[in-house]
Amino acid sequence: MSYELLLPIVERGGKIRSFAESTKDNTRTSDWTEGFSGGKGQMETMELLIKTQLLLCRRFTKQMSRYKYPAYGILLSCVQLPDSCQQALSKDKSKLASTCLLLPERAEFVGTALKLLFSTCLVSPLNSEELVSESGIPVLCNLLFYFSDALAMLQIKPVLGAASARTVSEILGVIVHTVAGIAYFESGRKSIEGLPDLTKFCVYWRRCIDGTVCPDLDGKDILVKSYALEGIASMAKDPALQEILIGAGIVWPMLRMSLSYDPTLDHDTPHLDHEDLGVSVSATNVLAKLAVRGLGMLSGIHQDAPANELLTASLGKLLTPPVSQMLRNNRTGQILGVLNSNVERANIIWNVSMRRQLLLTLDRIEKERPSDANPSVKEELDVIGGFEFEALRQELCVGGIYVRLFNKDGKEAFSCVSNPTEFGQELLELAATIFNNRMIEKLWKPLPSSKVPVGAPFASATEITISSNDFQAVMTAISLLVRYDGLLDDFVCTSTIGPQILFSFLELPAKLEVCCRLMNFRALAGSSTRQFFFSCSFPLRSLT
Amino acid sequence: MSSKQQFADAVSREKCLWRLFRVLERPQNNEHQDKVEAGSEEDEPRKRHGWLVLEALSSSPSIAMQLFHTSGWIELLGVLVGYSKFTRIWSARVGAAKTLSRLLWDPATGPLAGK
Repeated sequence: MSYELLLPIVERGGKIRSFAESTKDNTRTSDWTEGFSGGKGQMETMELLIKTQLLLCRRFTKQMSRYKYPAYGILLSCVQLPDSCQQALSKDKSKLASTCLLLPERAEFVGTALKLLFSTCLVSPLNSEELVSESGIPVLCNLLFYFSDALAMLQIKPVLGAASARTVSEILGVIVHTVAGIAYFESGRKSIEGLPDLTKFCVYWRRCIDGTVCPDLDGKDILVKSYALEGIASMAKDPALQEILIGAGIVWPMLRMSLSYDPTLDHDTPHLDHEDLGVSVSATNVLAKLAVRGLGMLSGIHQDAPANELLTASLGKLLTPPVSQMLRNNRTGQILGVLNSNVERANIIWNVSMRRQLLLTLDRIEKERPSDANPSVKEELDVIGGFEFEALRQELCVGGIYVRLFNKDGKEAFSCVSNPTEFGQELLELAATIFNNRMIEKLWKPLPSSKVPVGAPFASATEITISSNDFQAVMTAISLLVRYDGLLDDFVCTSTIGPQILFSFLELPAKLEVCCRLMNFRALAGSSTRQFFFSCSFPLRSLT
Repeated sequence: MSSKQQFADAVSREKCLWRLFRVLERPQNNEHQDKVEAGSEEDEPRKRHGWLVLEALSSSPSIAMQLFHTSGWIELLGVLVGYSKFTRIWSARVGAAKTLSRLLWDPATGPLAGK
């Protein structure tokens, strides 16, 4: 119906010719109508038609969604880069300022055409597929390069007679939004993956996020960033795109964004739209949420994306393993709340000093990183090196649980332990490792330690002695587990190490404080005849 | 009872009863002094608990048979009679005596001991 309404306008306006066709017989070329036969008149007619269609798409969304948009070929030819722009982009960027697409009238025309492109895709997913099949992605990709560079140039030095940075920024926003929308579909992702300049595309996409393309422009930058972040979440579903995006260094600005969240505004953060642009803090919260979702997808910690082990490991280092695992949650506010406040629980330690240290590290990484580089994922993430939080250096972490805090919080800490049995096993395994390393006796036969325990300081597990505070903390944690929960029973009775480690506790020198703790198990059990084994549901009830 | 049996079976399966014996039989540094017989060593409470553990374990068929078929029973006898390489404290002797008597009264191992 909408197209029927459009028909009279089309008929009055004469034949619509594609941009490519019209360039052949263009005889009165002027600067800003480069490539249009009929010059200004033809362009105005075309613009009128496009605006009308745009209006129809916006007003009659439901009706329009029934029809496949039939003129992507013409529309794409309207927004295609003319030769002069292409040459300036590829050879001499200093000439960008004088290219026709930056002239106000032409920029407005291209902007309107791009808006129609986006609107048609928005009304029907089938149109997105059609746009992809009409090779829309390479055209949009070229426009992204062109307008990004143009905007960067205009930011540095406004050009007299050229479109304003605000207009160009708006156009860039539409381009990024359209590509991000198309990336939602598998065909779109495949098309992006097949781009000849894929590496360059990812670098430019990162620039949309890190703000180098589009610094603060009355909130327009936030729109571009948010669309780019939405695109990341979609593109990360493709393993190849995921790798190249990570290689482009997209992770660093996203991490930075996730540290700019204000939890106090969590409940009244509006949905980001054009009216919200002035509300920078709220908008920053939206960006932080999108960034966190993107990080979850890029690393594959979120279930909707393929796993990327290297990034998962790196995020584990940068955010600590328990916090990085929160990236799997659909509710991004949870992890952002932790990252932007002080939290000290048995499973999470995060505070201002850690946040500051992470920001300094991100500063260093981004400063040392060449802006156009796109190395492999491994090379990109190697810059983290042996990053370690100063605040956690002295914390003993077993199975993702900070033992000191677990012991301190007692029973309340149990809610932080997702799998107490596994935690108990890890503790016993660590105790066995320490025994094997430090029980230096002729007749000592090593305990069978089935696996290397998981946790932060296990590289230095050999450094822990049976007289150290860490070992005492481990024993206290075991005592808490057996005191409050019988979950270790099965492990003790079914594993190879269980009975052996319990008997080995008897080997500890009596003078050690840890022995006193072990003896206290007896008191915990509440009877002088019950041994510490009893508190592990050890089978001595019949003796009491 | 089931957890007791399960644990005893685990100890038997892993053949780690020697770790307990090792602690129970070991003489203390000051054991050859006069006070020893009174059982005043610093880890005596621990050993006393250990003997109770052994006594409880020996009531399980799997452990009883293991004690009988290994050198366990003779080591217990050694503790009972005060063999010089073993501890000679009173609580250890009592523990060894109790465990041996359990073995003798056990319907599975008792008859075997007479042969």
